[in-house]
Parts: sequence; C-alpha cells; structure tokens
Amino acid sequence: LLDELWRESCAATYGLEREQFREILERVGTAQNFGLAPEATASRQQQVNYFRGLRFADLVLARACANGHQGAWEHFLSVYRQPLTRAAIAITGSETLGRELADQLYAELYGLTTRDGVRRSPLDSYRGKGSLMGWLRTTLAQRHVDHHRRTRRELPLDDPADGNEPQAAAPEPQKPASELLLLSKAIEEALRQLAAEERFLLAAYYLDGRTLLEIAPLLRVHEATVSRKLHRVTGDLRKQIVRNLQAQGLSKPAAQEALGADPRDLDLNLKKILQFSLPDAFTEKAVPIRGMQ
Amino acid sequence: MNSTSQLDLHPDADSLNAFAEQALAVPEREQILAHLAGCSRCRQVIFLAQQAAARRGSGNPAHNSNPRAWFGTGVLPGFRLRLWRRRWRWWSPFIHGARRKCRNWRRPCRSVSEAVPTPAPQEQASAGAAHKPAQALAAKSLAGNAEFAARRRTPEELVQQSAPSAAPPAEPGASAPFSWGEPVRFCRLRLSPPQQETTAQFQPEPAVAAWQQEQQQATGATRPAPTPRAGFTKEHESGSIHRPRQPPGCLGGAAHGAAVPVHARQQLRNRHATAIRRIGSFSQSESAQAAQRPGGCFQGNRPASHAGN
Repeated sequence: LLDELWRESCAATYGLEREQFREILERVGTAQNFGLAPEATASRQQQVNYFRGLRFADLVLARACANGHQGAWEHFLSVYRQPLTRAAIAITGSETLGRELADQLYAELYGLTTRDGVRRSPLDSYRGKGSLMGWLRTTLAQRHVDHHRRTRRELPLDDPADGNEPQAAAPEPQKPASELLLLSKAIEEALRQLAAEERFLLAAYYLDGRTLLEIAPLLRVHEATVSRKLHRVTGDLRKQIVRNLQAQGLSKPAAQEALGADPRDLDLNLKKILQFSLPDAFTEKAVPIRGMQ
Repeated sequence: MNSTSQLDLHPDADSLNAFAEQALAVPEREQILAHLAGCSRCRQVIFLAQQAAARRGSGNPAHNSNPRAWFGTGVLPGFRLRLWRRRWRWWSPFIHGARRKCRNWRRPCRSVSEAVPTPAPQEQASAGAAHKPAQALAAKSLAGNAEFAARRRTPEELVQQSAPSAAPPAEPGASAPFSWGEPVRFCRLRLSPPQQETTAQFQPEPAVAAWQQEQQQATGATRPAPTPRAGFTKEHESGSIHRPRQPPGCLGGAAHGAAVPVHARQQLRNRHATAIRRIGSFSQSESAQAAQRPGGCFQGNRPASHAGN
C-alpha cells in the first residue's frame, strides 16, 4: 500500500523519498487516530480505509512546500495564488484588505516565522482530509475572524457622560424569582438534551442569524429540510421545557404560563449551555488576542 | 477541562475544512458539530469560508481548471450559443426527415394507394386467389378503394345501378368510418374477396336509399352530389380516401368537412332565418299592442280579461 500510494501521489517529483513519505503518513494517521475516537485502536483495514480517503496530491504538495522545494512552490503559486487572493477578497469584502490578508498568509506559509530557530509553516498542519484550497480558505477565514475580534475589542467604549443615550429604566420583576429560576433550569436541561446537530442549528439560526441557505450546505441537506428541522426542534424543545417544569412541580397551565416570561428576565448563558463537547477534543489553541503576530 | 475553557480550544483549519467538505467520519463530525454549537468564532470561520467558496464558483472562472464549469457559470455565453447553433445545424436534416415520416405515417391510406398502382381486374381476381399475405393486403386495400369509388357516385347513378342489381347488397358497416388523421391500425379494410368486389354490382345501403328518396320528395328535384373539398380532388378521383358515411340528418360529421351536404345546410339556414323572422314580427306586434295599452307595459299572451287585473 505504501509503494502504491507513493507512486500515485507523485511524491518523487517533489523530492520526497519513500521513507519521508512513510513518516508523513504515520504522523498524519496518529495525529487523527485514523479517524476514530481517541480511545479506539485502529485495525489494519481501518488504517487502509483512512489512507484511501486522504488527498495525497495536495498533501505531498503541501509538505514539499513546507520543506522549501522550489518546484513545489512554483506549482503552488501557479495553481493557488489567484484563487487564494480572490478568496481573501471575498472574505474581507475589500480588495485592499483581501490582498493584504493573502500576502500575510503567503509570508506565513513560506515559513518566514521561526520558532526555536526552525522555520515554521502552517502547511505542516495540513493533513489531507479536505482539499488544499479549502484548507487555505479556512485558514484565511480564521485569520480574518481573529483579526476582526482583536480590533473590535480595541474599539473605544462610548462615553456614558455624554447623556445622549437615555438611561435604561430599572426593570420591574414581573414574575416571582423562583418561577424564573425554575424556567431557567428547565430550559438548560432541555437544551442539554438536544443532539449536537440540533444545537448547532439553533445557534446558527437564532444566535448568528444565518439563513437557511447558508446552513443547508454545511449539513448537506436542502433548505426546506433545514426549515423542517428547525420547526421540529423548536416544537420539541417547547414540549420538553413544559415537561421539565411539570417535573419540578408546576401544573400544566402554570408551565404554559411560565413560557410567556420575558427572555430578558432569564439569566441564561446560551453559549455556555450549547457548548457541550467532549474535553480535550481539540488541541489547537486559539490565537492570543494581543499576542498575534 | 470544563466547558468554559473548552471555548479557548478550537479545531484546526484542516478539521473545519474537512467538516465543510463532508470528509469527516461520524465521531469527528459529532465533535465538530458539538463545538460549533457553542463556538461563535468557529461558526463565523466556517460560514466565511463557505461564502468564499460560493463566490469562487460564481466569480471569474477563467482560472477554473474544469472547462465544463465555463459553460455552467455562463463564462462564454456567446460561444455556448454558437455551439448550440452548430448542433442544431447538424441535427436539422434528421429532425425534418423525422417530421416527414410522421406526416406520412398519419396518412396511411393515401400512401398505400400511391405506392400500389391500380391493377387490372384480371390481376385483382388473381390476387384474390393468391395466398401470400402481401398480395392479400394489397388486394384488400384496392378492394376498399374500389368500393369507395363506387360509393361516392351520384344518387342518380346509384339509383340506376340499384335497379338491375342481382347481387346481394353490401352489408352496412362493412367499411368503417375513417377520418383523415387516424393511424393505420384503425383503418378497417373490407374482408370480402376482391373478386366479388370487382365483378359484383354495387348495391346502396337501405338507409342511404331511403334518405335519398326523402330528399327527393321534400325538394321535388334531384340535388347534385356534395362537392368534395378542393384540396382532396385527386384523392377522391383515385378513390383512396374513405369518407365517413353519415346517417341522414346527422350533423356530427360537420367537423370532417363535407360530411353534411350543402343543400341540407342551406335548408337549415332557411329554417333558422324563418324562425328568427317570425319571432321578430311577433315581438314587434306584441310590443306595439303593449304600447297601446293604458299600463304601457308588456303583458304577454295573457287573455284580455286578465290583462286589466
């Protein structure tokens, strides 16, 4: 299998020997545990299936570029330079910012940043699961989002001494605090019982304001299917909240009435509730806010 | 590691891209989905990358490596139009040929009669004795043509022929009505031997003869035969058209052209005009009488004793 993959990927054209190719495969496979759960042990057939699903042409090109191969860089620039610039312009919405973002990424990809005296290229982190162009687009989007979040936090706050904005009146409690606490607890339990896809759907649609057209390609379903799923999830969530309230001692009419509470009165951290992934699932640290180069 | 600190760890670009391209296994996909549900930063990243990919598809595809995408995204509409024109030019002779074939297929009797020349009576007689299917079929069609040619003679000729006839009359309904556009499978041919057709004298049907007699009695004179349609003169003369037989007074065949005789149409028009004239005179007289009444309103046909009440 190794010889076959080595010949198919044309690794020899970029100066990658067979042993180097084997090391790359071992690193890629062990880093992702061959696509299995972290505690699972991959059989030989599972390893073969995992390697068959990789994009070896892109993987070899990325590793050759990370190693500084001249021919690989020429091929990379001829194929990916203009698409990368267009993607950066599309992401930023500005040609100037897009070109600047693409140039920064080029410098990073070329390995201008060094760590402990060793050239570091982000292309080393590419493992061939998706396409190289998709990886470049995602990397650009990550850079742009991180930059946007950093600069947004550096914006000056509005001066409250101006007096232009009306002072918000003190909210009057319309319902007893105990009832609101029961409602918050019921909502939290109902949200935690949802599947990951349903929580993603709710967050993308209601928190981010994404459209059905934007959500549908990520789930590989039609927009109408996304709409139906949303309708079903919200209906089930409402029923589950009522059931949770009833389990906490409220009657059904009282539980129905409690659902009419003002959401602003609830003390709920939806971001914290919806984040319910396994610990240690991801190893990439977010870019430090002020320490990003 | 609690869930709060989990927000500081994100999946790398390779995993996010594999998620967007549906290249992840189910466990990994569930992990990414669970993270995306609570991480607005990664959701933003993945939606931005998706938008960039969508714009790349609709952007300038001159750099697209797939030539088929040039046509799909409308890069070269002029070239695509020229390509279609060329294709149409290539296929147009075949399409016109198929249209001609269809047109001929919808005229089965005409094509059969044109293809098979009218043989002599001796040949028809010998053909009737033959047992080959092709000859039998040709003989049957010719027999039908001869029968139709005999049927479309004038009533005077029919009366003259019916008088000295010693042969048995033709069975009514032996030749089924045939419209111009019907396919060949509905064309019922006469099954009697062609030798009898050529040698026997034609006997008009009893219904047709009775209808002709009624017409003669009603009009007092023999009317000319219905004039065939101008475009079908040749086919009528060759006897290749099977005109449907219409019963007397039947107007259902008007859609087929000359199914209703001209004199019958004229008679109907005259009756219609007479009826309208009578109604008009009646209403005028009634309205004049109503105007002379004290009430000044139309009272209908009520008696004079009731009109005053």
